Amino acid sequence: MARMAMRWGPGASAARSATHAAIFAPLAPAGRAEAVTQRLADAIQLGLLEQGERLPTEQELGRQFGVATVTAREALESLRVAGLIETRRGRAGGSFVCGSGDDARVALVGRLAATSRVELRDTGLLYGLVAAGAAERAALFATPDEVGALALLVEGGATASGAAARRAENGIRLEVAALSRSARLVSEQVRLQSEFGPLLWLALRDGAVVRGNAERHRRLVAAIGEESPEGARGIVLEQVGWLVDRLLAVREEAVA
Amino acid sequence: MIAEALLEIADVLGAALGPVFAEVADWRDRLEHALAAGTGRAAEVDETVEWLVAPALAGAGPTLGAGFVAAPGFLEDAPWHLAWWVSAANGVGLAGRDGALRRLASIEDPLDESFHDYTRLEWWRGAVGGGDAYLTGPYIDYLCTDELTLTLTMPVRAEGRVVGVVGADLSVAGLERLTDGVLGHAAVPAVLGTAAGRVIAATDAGVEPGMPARRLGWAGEWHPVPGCGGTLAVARAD
Repeated sequence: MARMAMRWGPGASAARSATHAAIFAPLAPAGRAEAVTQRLADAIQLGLLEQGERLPTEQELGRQFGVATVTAREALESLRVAGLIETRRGRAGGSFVCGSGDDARVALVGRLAATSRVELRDTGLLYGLVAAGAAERAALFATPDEVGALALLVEGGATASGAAARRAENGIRLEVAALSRSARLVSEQVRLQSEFGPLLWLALRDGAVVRGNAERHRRLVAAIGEESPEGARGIVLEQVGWLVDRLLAVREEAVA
Repeated sequence: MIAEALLEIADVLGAALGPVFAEVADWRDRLEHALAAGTGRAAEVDETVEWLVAPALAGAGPTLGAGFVAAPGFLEDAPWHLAWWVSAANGVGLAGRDGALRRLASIEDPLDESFHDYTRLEWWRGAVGGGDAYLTGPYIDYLCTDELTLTLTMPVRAEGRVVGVVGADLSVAGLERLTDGVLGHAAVPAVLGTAAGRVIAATDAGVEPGMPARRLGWAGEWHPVPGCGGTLAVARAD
């Protein structure tokens, strides 16, 4: 980046260098196989894929992720080496989830500790803005039926714990994004969920945080029901900021 | 004068959109015949439905997906059953690759955690509860089309009872091409909406589909669009 700044010399406007810094920021180093491995490892570590659950075949995984079968095979091999899945031969064969629980959570906390606070805050900011923008639009578009369905989802998550609570958090965000009536906003929310969700959910292990989060979700549903875009936006911005603070606290404990 | 202009817009929209509705009604009629003749196993129903809907999904029309969804317990060998096909233009699950006509994968085991009780969804309740054609949306269907969608459903009857629904997922972007020609030449500002009062298209291109029409502050009377089973209406938009 230093080279780019020099090319325009000291007279280049700050805005321009900021834009170029963003454009030429390094891409995520992970290749496609690593990305698939990371996604599945996160899901196993979070308990979203459960012990003993059978994974789709290589061909099916490749189709779902939009990668070549050989790439999916490579990802499964990495998971096997990491001890997260095991492969059984024969008619009832396939790849089965075997690593889960405490060992796996340690791995996720390790990833959290290895991520800088600057990076966590920055990803949290984007996640919050996308979710808040979706909530703002949902308040303009949602039908009473949809608000009712969302309220059910929130109540289900409020009394859940562990993987079920995290699944509810995931589902609520996705539903709110869908209520925005923007297909691109939904796909961006899905992308951020897969990237940042697993880390954010580390904060949702504490019962008090789960309850505080559910309370904010309830207020969000009320704001959407009252057709208050400003209210919905404000609630989500506060909620995600609060979750990121909780996550930073988990990180401090982990690095201490 | 203005009412006449609106009725004319409704008529022309009916001519443009009616065929989409007539096609789904035709599937319903043919399927009711097949069921009356004794088709009762899932595999037989699948074969009939695919044969019925495949031509609509191969065309350049707004139909992104179509099929039949059985009432729980109707088919003896499949208590819950979706016979649903999606078109090549339907982007769901493709991750940006080119598609082909394919069957929608669904989970029909109620004990599976990902199982979804479809009789609780609006497109089922609207058609079965109302006993007639029902139009859900516009909504983002992230499970099935990945885009702004209207779902048209109609109840299917056998021996006097409802045994399922036939339906089609319609792309709002695709319908835009059908309605633009009409609304672009309208003599008065007008809005096309669903029976539930959601905007589908308007003469003012700034009006977003999916918006509740009452939010726009228009209080004009709604005139049904002919040939659309009472699911679409036109009102003055000022």
